[in-house]
Amino acid sequence: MRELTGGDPLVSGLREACANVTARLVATHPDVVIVVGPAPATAGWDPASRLDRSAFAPALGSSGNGTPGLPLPLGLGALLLDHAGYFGPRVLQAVGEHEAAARCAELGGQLTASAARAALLVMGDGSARRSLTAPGHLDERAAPFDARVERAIREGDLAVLAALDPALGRELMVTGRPAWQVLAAAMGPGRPGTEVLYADAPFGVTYLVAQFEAALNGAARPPGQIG
Amino acid sequence: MHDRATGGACPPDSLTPPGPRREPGLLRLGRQEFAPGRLLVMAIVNRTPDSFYRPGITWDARAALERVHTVVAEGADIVDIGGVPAKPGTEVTVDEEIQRTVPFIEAVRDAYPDLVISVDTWRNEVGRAACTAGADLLNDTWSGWDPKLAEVAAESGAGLVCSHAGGLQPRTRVFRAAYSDVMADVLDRTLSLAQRALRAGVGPSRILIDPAHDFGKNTWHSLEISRRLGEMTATGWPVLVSVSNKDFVGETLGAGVEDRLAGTLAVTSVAAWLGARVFRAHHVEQTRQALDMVAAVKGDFQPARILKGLV
Repeated sequence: MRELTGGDPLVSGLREACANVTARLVATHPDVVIVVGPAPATAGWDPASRLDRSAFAPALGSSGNGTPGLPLPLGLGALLLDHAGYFGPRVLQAVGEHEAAARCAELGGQLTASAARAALLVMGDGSARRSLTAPGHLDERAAPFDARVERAIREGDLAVLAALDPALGRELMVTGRPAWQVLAAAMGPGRPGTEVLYADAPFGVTYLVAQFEAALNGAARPPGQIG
Repeated sequence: MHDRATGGACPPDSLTPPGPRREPGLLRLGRQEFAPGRLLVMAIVNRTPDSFYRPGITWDARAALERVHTVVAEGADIVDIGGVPAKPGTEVTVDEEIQRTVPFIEAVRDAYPDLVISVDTWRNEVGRAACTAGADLLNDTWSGWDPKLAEVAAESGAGLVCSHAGGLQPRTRVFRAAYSDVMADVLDRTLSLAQRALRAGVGPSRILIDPAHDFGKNTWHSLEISRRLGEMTATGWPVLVSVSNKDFVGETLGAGVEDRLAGTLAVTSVAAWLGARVFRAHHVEQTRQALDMVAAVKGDFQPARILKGLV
């Protein structure tokens, strides 16, 4: 968010990838966009909620419509949708950071159970332990973990995502783990078509931006994006 | 003697335990007494291996003692000796930390019987050994992570710094910290630790509070606590700030770590104006001058030599 990170333009490639993937998602004209992101607790948030920037930057003051306590991933997802010009129905779904894989899968199934054509905007990052100066310092296991996730996304291998170990994910400060497991279940059976638009760790935290398109198997299935 | 503890602007309340009276405004460290209005420089002396030269104990200790001589000559009121970096890295065991700091504290105490010595540690075993060697103050930047540290201070008659670190484990970095009100969180934490220290028996005039810039806080948060520091000083507890060369200065100005002196002195001066009492610094001479200037503007400092316009 430019207003939080100051005067210098940073990682414009990442910002462009996020904007790009959101624009593609919106262009599919979904009936509803479901923003999924990790948070201290599993909970639905009012779809009209917006990020309270003052929690991260007191000097910016609380903008009139900031929702106190709204988890950062949901706030950023909402912002991406706003910037993409999407003002249709949205759902803001927080997934608890400690939720087991099975529970995440259950949630993914529930989210897309309705007959609506739903698009998922899944917010979550890879490891924050990718370098000596990373927030989580350097853990040698982080790069291989992220590489496995990236390869799974490129190959549309949802089973790998579904099988990610929550304990290891926590140790490696992989915030995206529960959200990806929701996505894996929501995509349904079959191998989705995928495209990775960004995969890098410029600040020691891995950011992955990817598009998923569900395999067509008769019934309408949701397109999903990871941002 | 069980009067209700009061201290300066700190109002008595049901949470304030009965106990020794805090003399309003007085700060006791070691054998020294510092009245309000005195702005104190705490000089940073690191006893961590420097990658620039091989870590040879004798070489290291000699250079470090030279630094102590220098900073005392430059006007340091306190020397803060630390053996473990705040940032993540190779583990330093308790024994290693003691090795790095305690013999050195003995050497400094030998050379300066009355100098206030603080030890930058969060661990009670290190604190205990340091106090035995002559340390007067336990400077804990990790917000009471080790609850026994307060007891060590009490038993040794040493002082204690009560800081806020946003819940971080020692030697970890801030990661997407969010606060509905960072200043309220800082006050809540530091005052709780101060009250706890009082109950543990730490001398009432030997307790300081420190918002701990950048610990569990991003640059925006550190700027906010700087802006609102008056809320901390208004509590009546002496406030210590450690802003020297910190990342919030660097990020604000786009300045590398070698280039943060001006920014450091600016926020130091703001903190002094808002009532902070102790300033932990790398650049002792410049900090001393900046503080003397602020004190003079406040009316607390006798200018050195005034002739212009009077002759």
